[in-house]
Amino acid sequence: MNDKLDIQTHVDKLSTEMRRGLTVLVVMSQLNEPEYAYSLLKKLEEKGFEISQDALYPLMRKLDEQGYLNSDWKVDESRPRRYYQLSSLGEAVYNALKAEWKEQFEQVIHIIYQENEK
Amino acid sequence: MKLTPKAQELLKRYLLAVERRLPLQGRKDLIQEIESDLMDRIEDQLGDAALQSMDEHQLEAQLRLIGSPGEVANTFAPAQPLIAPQHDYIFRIIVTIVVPIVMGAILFAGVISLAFSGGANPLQSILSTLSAMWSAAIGITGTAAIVFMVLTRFFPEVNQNVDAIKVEFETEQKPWKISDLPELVLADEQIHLWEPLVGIILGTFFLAIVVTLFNRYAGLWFINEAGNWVMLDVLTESVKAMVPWWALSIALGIGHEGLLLYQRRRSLLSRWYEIGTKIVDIIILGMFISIPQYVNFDSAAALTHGMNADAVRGFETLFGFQEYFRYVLMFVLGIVAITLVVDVVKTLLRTIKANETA
Repeated sequence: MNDKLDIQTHVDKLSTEMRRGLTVLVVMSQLNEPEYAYSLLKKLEEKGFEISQDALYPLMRKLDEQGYLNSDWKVDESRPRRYYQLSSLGEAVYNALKAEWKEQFEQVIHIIYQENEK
Repeated sequence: MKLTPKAQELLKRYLLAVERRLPLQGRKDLIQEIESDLMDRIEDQLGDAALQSMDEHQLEAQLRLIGSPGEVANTFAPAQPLIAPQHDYIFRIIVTIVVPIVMGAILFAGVISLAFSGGANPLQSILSTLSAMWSAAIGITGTAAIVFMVLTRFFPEVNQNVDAIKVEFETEQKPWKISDLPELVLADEQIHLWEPLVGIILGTFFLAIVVTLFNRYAGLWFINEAGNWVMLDVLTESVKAMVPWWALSIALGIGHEGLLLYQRRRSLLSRWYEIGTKIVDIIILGMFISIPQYVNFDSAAALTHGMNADAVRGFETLFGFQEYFRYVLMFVLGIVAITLVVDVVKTLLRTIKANETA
């Protein structure tokens, strides 16, 4: 029982690290359309990608500061909201990152499953 | 979602507490985003109940679910410590273990050195040992701090994966109280920190001049025919007797600035204090106006001290108008009295309003 718990702890820790690298890609993938921080959080939750506010909000600000996102205030709703969307630079980076990840993913699949099953 | 006036005030105080924990750069923009986000989260938590009006108790319950102002600020703009949490453990070891060991070694060496010197210059030995211990403590701690600050700033990946020694940074997860939230400061109550500081510095400067230099150096200065600076004592004793009153007026002004500095705002107390100082100023001005003669220009003495005869005639004419100076002072007194009445009425209304709100 203890061994199982220990293994799960290790898995959780490593899984968190694995997801950390993918978070940027996932967040960027959802910003083709303008989203405000809370709506993006809910959207990701609905899609089963768990991310905390503590991780998402600073990440969005960082991407904004790096020029990957454009942000604008919209005041025509019930309250002013700041909407984020991929900038042209962000879109180019996202597409390149997506292709890179696909390639890496295929390599990993190949290494882990196909080679091991031989 | 509608908020009652008290709930609105609570929200503003909560947001002010969050704002004070945000970095200065982009703070206004960020706090707007946080307000919008908080409202979204509360509406989401409440569901259909969000359509109803919310009082301060309901809002407080929702804010407690969201967290303390420190936690909210940290969510949007994580605190950036000078030394990253992953270095904290090593830094603490250096400060709590390495520094005492080195200081102990220096102390031991100092004692041995003193013993072998046969007790010559014991005070000097003790002082040099203490000095060396102090230098070592500051040197090691400072160097370690600089090294870890550089690592944190320029090499954030160092020690990043050392989970075993990672210490979570303080995010104010302790329970928070409404009474801890800052009071709202209205636009006409706001002051900049430099305002009372400048007031205190200038006030102290003038107070020092009035108290120490006025009676000695206040007079008619001129260059005589031999080319030397000469001072003619023209002020009457009645004017000189006003110095302690002027000093009192300036000191009360400094006290007012000190109160503003302490409270960081214009409060009811500071407004009543200001009214008090104005009343004192009016009394002092009244005393000054009632002085029968301000200047006593002695033409013969001026000529004896080498003043040019034309200048003497000029000053005789000028000082002949001193009665008009009294009228100017009376005009100033009238203005100050009017502003005093306005201030009293406004402050009375504020006081009544404050009591009603309380």
